[in-house]
Amino acid sequence: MTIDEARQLFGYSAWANGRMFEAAAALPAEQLSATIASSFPSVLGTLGHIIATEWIWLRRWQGDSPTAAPAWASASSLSELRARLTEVESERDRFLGQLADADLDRIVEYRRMSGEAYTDRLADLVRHAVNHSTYHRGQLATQLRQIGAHPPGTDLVTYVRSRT
Amino acid sequence: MNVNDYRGLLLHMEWADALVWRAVLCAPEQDDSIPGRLHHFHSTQWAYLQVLQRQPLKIPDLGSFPDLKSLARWARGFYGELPAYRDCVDEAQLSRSVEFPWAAQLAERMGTPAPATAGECLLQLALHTAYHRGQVATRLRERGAQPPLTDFIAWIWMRRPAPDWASVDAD
Repeated sequence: MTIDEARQLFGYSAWANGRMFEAAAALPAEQLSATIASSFPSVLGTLGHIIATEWIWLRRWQGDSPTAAPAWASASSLSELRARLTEVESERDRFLGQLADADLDRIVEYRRMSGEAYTDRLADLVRHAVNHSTYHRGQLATQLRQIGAHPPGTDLVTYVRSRT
Repeated sequence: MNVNDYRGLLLHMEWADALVWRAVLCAPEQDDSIPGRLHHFHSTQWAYLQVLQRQPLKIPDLGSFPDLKSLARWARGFYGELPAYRDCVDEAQLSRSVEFPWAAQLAERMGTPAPATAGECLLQLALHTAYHRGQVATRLRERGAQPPLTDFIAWIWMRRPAPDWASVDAD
């Protein structure tokens, strides 16, 4: 993987997350927090998990291993989550902007929230982060459908085609 | 990404799909939502592979499968065919543009699309599958079943295990 490819992957992820936020913004607040069985119990809960996980990985890549999910992950406001996502994306852009291709082979040492120590190649963690958000966007789409909303298309191929 | 990066994504995809199938086959009563999702993403896998190998598209309808097990075996069959492409594709092939039989329909909806390379198609396939695997997990949870952990990083942590298709292969 090259650093340009990593940036493109996160560009895709930011585009797809943004589309999900646009769909969620059309819903009344009570629907956003309505309980819907999934890995996370509501639209807001799933969005919070996606963003918090992106935040946690970004922290780990920069040498800091959070011991808990950030409090804002369980925020009850879509606008707060959107603001956090914007912060994470900006910080990640700055982080990636300082890297060269060879940095993606760097071994990242980090601790999971349970305290266990891990070492992984940055390129593998980048792939995981993008894959993880995609997986939970799938869950979000199901939750949106269950409350009568129409989830947007977020396929990578749509993003690739929309850029050119 | 290089050839090995793509192979890794596809190997993880198979491992994760096998785990999901094991959970689905053990889950209490099904409605159409889970088989429908599974059929959709496995159809996409088959379609992309057929396009990449320049074969005619041959995707059976969901209704043609008499039961869940037959759908599972068809899904499993994709992973029998995939290695012939996955293990032989090279960097030059990955960077070539792919012509899709459905390009004309797409052009009507979106205008003439920019070409996608074979590498972008494989990435799309891995992410598309992950997205719909997430949907299957949600449906499993609704039925009180516990969806498996299928994270890419979990596969790395477990030292890239081989897929376990025993639940599908069993009679």
